[in-house]
Parts: sequence; structure tokens; C-alpha cells
Amino acid sequence: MKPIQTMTRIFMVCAVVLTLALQAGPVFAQGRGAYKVVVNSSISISSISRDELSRVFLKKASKFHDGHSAMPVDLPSSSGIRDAFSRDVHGKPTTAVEAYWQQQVFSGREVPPAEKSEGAAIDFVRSNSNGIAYVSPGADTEGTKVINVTD
Amino acid sequence: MHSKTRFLVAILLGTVLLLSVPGVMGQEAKKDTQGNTEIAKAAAPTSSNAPSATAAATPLAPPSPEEFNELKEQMKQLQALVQEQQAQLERLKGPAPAPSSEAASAAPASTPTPALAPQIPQDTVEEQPIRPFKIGGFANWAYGKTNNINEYDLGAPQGRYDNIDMGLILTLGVLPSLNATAQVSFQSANDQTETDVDFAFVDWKVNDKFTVRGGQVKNPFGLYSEYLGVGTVYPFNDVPQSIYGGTTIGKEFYRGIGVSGIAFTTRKWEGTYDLFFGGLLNDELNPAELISDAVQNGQSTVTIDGLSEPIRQAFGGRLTVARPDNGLRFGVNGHSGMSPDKGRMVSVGAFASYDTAKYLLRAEFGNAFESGFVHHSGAYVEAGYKIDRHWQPVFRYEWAREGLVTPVVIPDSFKSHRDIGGGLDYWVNPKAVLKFSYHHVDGNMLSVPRGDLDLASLFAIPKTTDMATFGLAFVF
Repeated sequence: MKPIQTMTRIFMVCAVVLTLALQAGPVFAQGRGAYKVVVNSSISISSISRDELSRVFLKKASKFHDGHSAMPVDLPSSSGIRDAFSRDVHGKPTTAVEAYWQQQVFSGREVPPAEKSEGAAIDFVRSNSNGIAYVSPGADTEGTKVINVTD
Repeated sequence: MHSKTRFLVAILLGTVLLLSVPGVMGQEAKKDTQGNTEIAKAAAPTSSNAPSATAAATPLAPPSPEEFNELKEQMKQLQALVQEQQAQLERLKGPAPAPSSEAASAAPASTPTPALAPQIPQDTVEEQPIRPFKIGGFANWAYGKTNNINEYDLGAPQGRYDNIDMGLILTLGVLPSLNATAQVSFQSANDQTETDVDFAFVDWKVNDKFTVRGGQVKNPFGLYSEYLGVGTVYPFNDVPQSIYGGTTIGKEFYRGIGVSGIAFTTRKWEGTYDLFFGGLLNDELNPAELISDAVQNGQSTVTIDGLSEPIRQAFGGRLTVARPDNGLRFGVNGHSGMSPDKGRMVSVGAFASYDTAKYLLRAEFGNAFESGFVHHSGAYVEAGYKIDRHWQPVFRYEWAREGLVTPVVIPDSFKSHRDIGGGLDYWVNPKAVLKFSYHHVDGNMLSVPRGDLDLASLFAIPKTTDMATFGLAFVF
């Protein structure tokens, strides 16, 4: 097999991969309404876009759009609320998000947000001026601020 | 090895120095919780926090009527002051928010604030904004066997049981934006073991768009250079050999200074960049060149083994464009540096990946140039499909070619490589996987007998090799 032929085939495969991926839409929300997002009361924002929320929880953005620092906490990976949040906000299930974090950790780039139970996450948000978390819709979020998630 | 040891010692000394400097470690944690702690302390119902110093000094003596009136007056003044502060806070923060720790800590710490203090839980000291020390690890074990005298990747004719790669990655959060990271590993293969410091670097995140790194850092090349040894990241028991296995295209780390960050973001797309300057290490398995040298030197045998050489005055980078919501990622990368023997070496490549919870499609190709000609070319495509959350059949095709310029007649099979592999992975959970794979390899560029080889027997060496591997990998 001549090298140039092989390279052409590889390019063609890459092109097919790109085409398929570009045509594929994101894995869309399956859990909108299955969680609510809470922030510390000192944070002035009242809504956040799904893209921004994703960047905050993947630690690609360290601040909210108003410039306030963001410090997210996750629910445990076995949590159904977390899976609903992951699918809705990140467009992928928790397992895929965990795979992302493995790559971040072992490339030495970033470590994932701390994992806490729902109660501990609310306590964290309540007591930390930069705190943000997602919890079940029925959770007692007194002392925190519930914000809207927009498209 | 000596330089790595020196490097490790330097990192350890630096860490000790940092730990010995008071106020550096956990500075942020202290900063964040200081106010809370002081207020909580002020609010504690002890005599030391009583409003009157006189009363505190004589806790058992009943106050006189004058002292009692004076105390009452002071209490009224304090109450008025607290009310005024609360009103001011409410004006600043909008309609009736719940008091936050930040707002609470804004109040004078020395002022007894009975209205505010009960809302600040004492255990917030545990909620530190950074975890000062983190640890993660990975471990891989694999068995590999080839069907003839050739050795290839993890496999050997007699079966190799000791393919072990374990590592610990330690991250020390010195400050919220300053981390020190080190990875130590234990590797075993072919009855040889090695304990090493794979990486040790400090990174300073200036902002989301700009992070500076210095030390021995994972090389941002292609899809796998940063994750070598982390078996849960790639679908087979090892990474594709055409790019990462001795063809000099992908290199594991750089020593020097690098910058990285987010180049741009749109609603759907995201671009990231990496740039570095410093030195590289070139790991190469090049039987054709060894044979050529041996023939020209009049030898009757040649010793086939991998070679390592430092590459100096190196620079390189990677540009990645991704669509995070659907798992598409593609980019270009390259690096260049000076080999002490061969002059300037250049590697360039491109990659594409479509990685979702169900589908996996990855492709990469690269060229390594040496003194003006194509030294190595390599490419691969691999795919996987998650049938359910446990089972994932995988497939890989890879190809490599060497463009060695030599007057010596060398069998063409020593300058080419092709591997068609299929396998089945069983994911115990997202952090642990068992893998079985079977590979059919054509060519002796990367699949050759190791050790001393009789040059007269070159043409008798099998050109094709089959290899079976079984392994497990996990991270924590």
C-alpha cells in the first residue's frame, strides 16, 4: 500500500467523522426541571445560560458573567439529580463528564469540583460567597438564592 | 535519570520551602474564613465577649445600679449601631436577602453582633475555597503474547506478564490560582522496572484565557500524549504505536515554560491553545537505521533496542477546536528542536475525535521530519461503540512508514508498519475497565526481535505478527 493512498484514506475517514459530528446535534435535555440551581445570596445574578453554567461546572470559566467568582460543587456521581443536570447542561451523562475530568486531572490541568451530598452542597453555597450548586427541586434552599437556567 | 532526580529534589525542596513559609499555605482559606471565625468568636456567649470590660474583669461581682445603667446605655448604642449596619447592608444587597458570609464578614469583627452572629455557622471553617492537596492515581496491567519471534508493543513471544504502569498524581493548591503538580510512576516491562518522576510543574492561572506552566510538563501533542499510561482514556491496552510508539512523532513531555488557555468561545464552539519552549526527549525504535549503521560499520550482528536522546531548543504547540456539547474535537499540533546528532527535528500532526457516551471515533496523523526529509509518517483511526454501560467493542487501524535514506539494502518490511486490531472492553464502571484485543501486524518497523540479531538472517524474520493482549486499567 502506498503511503499517499493511505494518507488520503485517513483524510477521508477524518472528513466523514467531522461531517457526521457536525450534523449530529447535542444530546439534548432530558432533565430540565429535575434540578434547581442555587447560588450564594451575595451573588447578584438571577439567571444563567446553560452554556455558562456548563463552563462554570467544567471549570472553564472561573467567574460569572457579572465578574463574581464562581466556586461550584457537584453532587456525587451516583446521584440521579447530577445525571439529569449533566445531560441537560453539559449535553452528556455523568459518565462522560467523569471521563472529561479524568483527562483534566491526568493532564495536570484542572481538578473537578468537590462532590458533596445535597445537604452539604446547600450548606456550602450558603456559607461560601462564591458558591454555586444544583439540587433537587424539593430541596430546602433557605438562605441561598435560586437562579433561572436559560437557553 | 540523574537530571530527573535533581528535578525531583528541587521540587521537594520547593515544596518544603513553601510549607515552611508561614501564611502561604492555606492563605486563601484563612482569608475566607477569618471574618467568620472572628465573628463567631465574638458572638460566643462567654464573659470575654460581654460588652463591658469592667463586667468581664469582675464576672462574679453584681453590678451596681450605676454600672447597670451604663451597661444598658451601651447596649442600646450597640443595638442602634447594628440596626444601622443591617439597614446599610440591605440597601446594598437589594430586597431582603439572606445574609452571606461575605456580608457578615464585612461587619467589624470586634463588634459584638448578636443579630448577625447566629447566622454564621462555626463549621464553615471546613468549607475552604481550595482543597490544598489532592491526589489521584492510575494503574494498568496487561499481558501480551505474539505468535512468533517478534516483539511488538506489549507482546513478546513467550508472553509478557509484567506490563505494569502505575502512577500517582499529586496537586498542591498553593494559592487559588497557583498549583504545583507532580506525577510519580512505577513501570515494569520485560523484567525491567523503573520508578520515575514523570512530571513536576507549577502552573499559575492568570485567568481563564492564560495559564503559565513551568517544569517538566506533559506535552500537548495529539490526543494521547498527556494521558500515556492512563488506560481508561484509550480503548486498547496501549496507545497507537504509529504515533506514540517509537516513531518519534509524539513525545511525552517537555521541560521548560508553557502557556495555555481558552483562545475563544462561542455559543457552540470553543478553541484552546498550548505553546511551550524548552527541551524534549526523543524515544525512538528504529531498526532500519540500526541495521544500516551496523552494515556500514562491517558488523555481523545488530542490537535492536529503543533509543532516547534529548532534544534541545525546542518549541511547539497545539490548537484545538471543540464542540463540547456533542463531543467533537479536532486540531493541529507540532514541535521542533535540535537533536545533538541529527540536527533539527520537526513533528507536525493533526487529529480529530468524536467522543460521546456511545460512540468513539478518533483519528490522527503525523509526520516527523529530520534534516529536510520525512523521517517517519504515521496515522491511525480507532472506533468504539458502547453496547450498554459495560460492553464496548473497539477497532483500530494504524499505519506508519519510515523514509530512511541509506545506501544499504534493507528489507522494506523494516521501514513499514500496519496494525489492524479489534477488541472488546468491559467497563466495570467509568473508572475501571478490562480489555481484550487481537492485532495483526504487517511489517517489522515496530515489530521485531529484540536484542542481538544476525544481519544474515534479516530476510528470515517473519514480516507479519499476530498479538493478543489482555489487561485491566483503573483510576482513582
